[in-house]
Amino acid sequence: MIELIPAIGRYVRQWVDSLGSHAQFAARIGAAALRPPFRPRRSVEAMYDSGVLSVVIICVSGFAVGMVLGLLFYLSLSRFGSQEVLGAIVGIALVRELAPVFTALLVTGRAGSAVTAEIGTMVVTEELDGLRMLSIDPVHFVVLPKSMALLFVMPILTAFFALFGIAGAYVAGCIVLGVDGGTFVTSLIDAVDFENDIMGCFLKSVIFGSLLGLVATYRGYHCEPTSRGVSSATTQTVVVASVSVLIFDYFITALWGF
Amino acid sequence: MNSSKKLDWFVGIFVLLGLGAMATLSISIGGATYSGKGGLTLYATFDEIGGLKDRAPVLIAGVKVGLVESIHLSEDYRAKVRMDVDDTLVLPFDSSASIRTAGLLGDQFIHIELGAEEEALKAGEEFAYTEDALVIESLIGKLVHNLGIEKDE
Amino acid sequence: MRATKLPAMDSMPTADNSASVTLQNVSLSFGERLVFQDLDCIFHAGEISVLAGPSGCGKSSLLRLLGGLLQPQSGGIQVSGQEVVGVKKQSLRQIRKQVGMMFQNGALLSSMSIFENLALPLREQREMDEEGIRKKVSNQLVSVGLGDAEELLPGQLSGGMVKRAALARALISDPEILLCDEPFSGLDPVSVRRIEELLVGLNQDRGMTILLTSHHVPSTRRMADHVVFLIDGGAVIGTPEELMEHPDERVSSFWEELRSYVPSATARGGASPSSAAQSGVVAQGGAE
Repeated sequence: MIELIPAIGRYVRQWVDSLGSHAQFAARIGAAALRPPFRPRRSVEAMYDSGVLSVVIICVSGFAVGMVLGLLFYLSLSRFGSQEVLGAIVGIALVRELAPVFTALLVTGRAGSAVTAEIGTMVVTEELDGLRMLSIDPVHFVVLPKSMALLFVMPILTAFFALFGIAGAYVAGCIVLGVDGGTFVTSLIDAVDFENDIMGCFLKSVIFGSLLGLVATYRGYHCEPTSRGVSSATTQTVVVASVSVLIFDYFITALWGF
Repeated sequence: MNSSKKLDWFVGIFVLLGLGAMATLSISIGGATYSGKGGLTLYATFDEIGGLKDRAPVLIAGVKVGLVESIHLSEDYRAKVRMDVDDTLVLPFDSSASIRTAGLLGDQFIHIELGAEEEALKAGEEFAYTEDALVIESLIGKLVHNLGIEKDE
Repeated sequence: MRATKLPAMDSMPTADNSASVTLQNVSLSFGERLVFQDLDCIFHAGEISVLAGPSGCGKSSLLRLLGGLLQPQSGGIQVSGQEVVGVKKQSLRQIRKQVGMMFQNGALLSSMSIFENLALPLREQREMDEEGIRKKVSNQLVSVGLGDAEELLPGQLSGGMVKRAALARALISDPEILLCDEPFSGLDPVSVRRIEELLVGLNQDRGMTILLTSHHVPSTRRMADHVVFLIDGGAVIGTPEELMEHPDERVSSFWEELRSYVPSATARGGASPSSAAQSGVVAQGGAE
């Protein structure tokens, strides 16, 4: 029982330490972003890896989630005879919550883990040390383009997810279950407004994107130089990024929603 | 070299489609560009605004011509509503503003009833005549009260 | 970080003008594990030194210390007369211009072609135009026998080719000192000979100072002016011949593999015995 207290203390200290070094790493990335040369080539490659290659999974998942929502809300709403607000409910749910959160979780699994694994492997194969010996800052050359790519790609993929989700709900609600298409679209457009819903959606996705960009590169960069180190760093990225996305989501919703 | 060209194309298309998707969400679904043409700021003071909110529409004959910008409490504790209206409109200065409800329980909006005078309202001026929001509870209360009086008699 | 006070260069009994790399009282540990304790060591300019010793004795760590990739807990390290320990990024940059490092597995960037890998440091230095870079990289690749591998990715090369590409990249900025981490590991005897010839050639033609870590006994025997045998946190230094006769059995048994045959011809022509004998006395193992 008495050992528990120092154990808690140690855990909290480690947690605060890691928070601090994340912040330090973020500052290093920020400083690197302002320092020339700028590397369009590396950024394009990184955006291809985390953006273009994630499009399919995002669109398919968005469509599937939208169809489920359409079905589920139709069943609940038809009890009260108010199927005409299906578009509104689906739109709000997707735009405000599901699109940014789902996209962040999917991109974490699809691209964030890949970024960690790639940087971690570069630690193992001494590629980062090789760059240092050539007087090239690995944060500037490797970390910066990858974290920025994750940040930029997130709102774009979120928009894809939301649109495909709405299309999925339309298919399930209007084509399969027979809600009037015009009513669906009108109630959707009436309910979703720009300043609260769409801006909130993009604000979330930008915050999630920078969070993931930081966590994924941090874990890779500080990975232990063994193959076990790489695999545990990759797992850590998925766990830490997913949990912090969900926690941040609550706070953003609470602060932005009122 | 060839494969990096291909990469450029993919990323370019990705970004353009993405911007398109964001614009669709913002404009078609979010209605970011309404406001049509604003430019004319007008005020109206009410005793009771019910559930009127910022960004509620301002209608003439059911056509949207502007929106509510802000709602404040005035010095004499009444609700002062500031609205932004299409500045090509010529509204007679004896026009009236009333708060109405879409359907029985829908959102509230401001309806402008045109007056007859030739002189127009200018930017920053206030409607001379206003009609408060109907609050359903007080309406029912009145009804019950009146019914009660009728019975008594 | 605690840095011990450093005596001036000329007051060091063993330091002379030909010292290219000097380590003084260097202590390094990873957590609980002590790697070096008060290690003193000198590597002379224009010589080939081989770092040997059992696995985990800190051979690679020593190279990483010299490149500034690791910082010791205490002590001083001078490379070409410039301090490496605890200095600013800018001076580390200056030092690294004079130090080329060839990593064990090449450490080439896997997403770039061999040509781009070599061109990268030149592009970053921004001192040359595209034409000059192209020429220099091509020449460098031809000199290590990779003239036709320019557009290949590192993953498409064989082990020996990766080592040569890594060597070419280490040499691209014309360093004075070359650090090689296990340049012979995982290679067939022909490739070993090839790398050996390249290194010896660099040493003889350009007078380059070369430090390499190796488990490869025959090539150590052939190339080394000195061997630095790392053991118990300190170093035993001498010519291959001296260390073969070293009283400590752990040191002499390193050469066991060689006892069976006598090398017919050394790869290097004239390792002058006098210089080797003279420098053989420098050995100072700290923790013994």
